[in-house]
Amino acid sequence: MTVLSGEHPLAVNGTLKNFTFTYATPYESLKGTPLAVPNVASIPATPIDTYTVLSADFPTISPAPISTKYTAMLTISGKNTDTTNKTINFQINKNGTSVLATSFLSTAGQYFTQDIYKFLDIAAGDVIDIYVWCTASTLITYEYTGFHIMPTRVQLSRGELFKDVSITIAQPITPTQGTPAQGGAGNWYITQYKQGTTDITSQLGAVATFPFKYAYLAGPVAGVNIYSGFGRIYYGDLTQSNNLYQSTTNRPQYFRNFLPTQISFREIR
Amino acid sequence: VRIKLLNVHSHLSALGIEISSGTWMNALSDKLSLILPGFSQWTYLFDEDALDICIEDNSVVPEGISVLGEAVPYDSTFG
Repeated sequence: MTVLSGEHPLAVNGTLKNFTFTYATPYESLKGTPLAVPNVASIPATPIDTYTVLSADFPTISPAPISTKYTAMLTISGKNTDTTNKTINFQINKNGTSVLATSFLSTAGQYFTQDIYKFLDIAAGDVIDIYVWCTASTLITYEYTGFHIMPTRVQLSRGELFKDVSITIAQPITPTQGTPAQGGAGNWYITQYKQGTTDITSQLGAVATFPFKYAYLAGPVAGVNIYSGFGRIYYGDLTQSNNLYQSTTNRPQYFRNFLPTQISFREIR
Repeated sequence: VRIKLLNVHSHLSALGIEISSGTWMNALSDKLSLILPGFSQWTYLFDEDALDICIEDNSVVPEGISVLGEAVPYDSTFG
C-alpha cells in the first residue's frame, strides 16, 4: 500500500472579505405650488424640470469593488385636474439626447406617476431634462421629481468559487415627500452558474440575509455574457423602461429595488 | 397586455410620421387610438428603436399593430 504524506490541501480558503453598501438620501423636489403643464402642440422649448446628477447621489461601497456600474430611477408626478381624461406627453433627455418619449391617457381627477429606469451608466454631471406637455388641456399640473442611484453588476472578486457567503438585502431607498406609496420593487439577481453561455440566476427579494455555505458565482465572459456575479438589479438593468401609476390619493408611487447592504465571503483558491 | 415592437422608425416613416418632427408623438398617439382604442400608455425607447405599449382591458393584440413595428413577446426583452 502506498502511503502519501504531506499532501497539500485541495483548496485554500482566503480571508473573510466584507463589503458594506451605503446609500444616499434620494433627491426629491415636491413643488410647493404645482407647475402648469404647457398646453402646446409639440415638445416645449424648455423642460418643465431639470436635474443635474451629483457625486453625492452615488452609493458608497467599502472597500472599493473591482468594478461596478450605476443606474438610476427617475420618478415624476402630476395631476389631471380636468373633468375628462387627457393624453399627456413626456420626453426625457439625458445630456441633450432623448432617452424615451412616452404618452399615456391620464384619468380625470387623479394623480399620475411615471417611474423611469433607463439610465444605465449614469455619471455625476449628467443632466436630466424632463419635458411634459398636453395638447388638449390647460388643467394638467406637474408636482414632483424624484431621483436615486443604484449599483449593479457589482464585481467584488476575480474568483468564482466562494465559501461562507453572506448577502444581506434590503430596500434602503425610501422617498418621503408628497403622499408616497410604493409602486413596485425589483429583486437582486445573482448568477449561480452557467448553462452553456447562459447565466442562470437566482433572485434575492426579501429584507433578509442569505447565507451560502459554498457558492459558485459566475464571472464575466468577454463578448458572451453580461456579468452578474454578486449581483444585478432588475429595474434599471435587467429591464430598462418605464411604468405608469395613477391614483386618487398617492403621488408619487415610486419604484425601487432590493439592494445589498452587506456582502461577505471567502475566496476558494 | 404589454407588447413591444421593434424597428419602429422605418415603420413610422412609411406611415408619414417622422420621429425627428416636433409633432410625431401626437401623430403616433392618433394612429394608436385608431388601431388600439383601449391603449393606456406607449413609450418609445430611442436607443432600441422600440415601442413599449400597454393596453388596458384588452387581451387580444390586433393584427393591425404590425404597421407600427415587429411585435416580440415582451418578456423576451428582459435580461
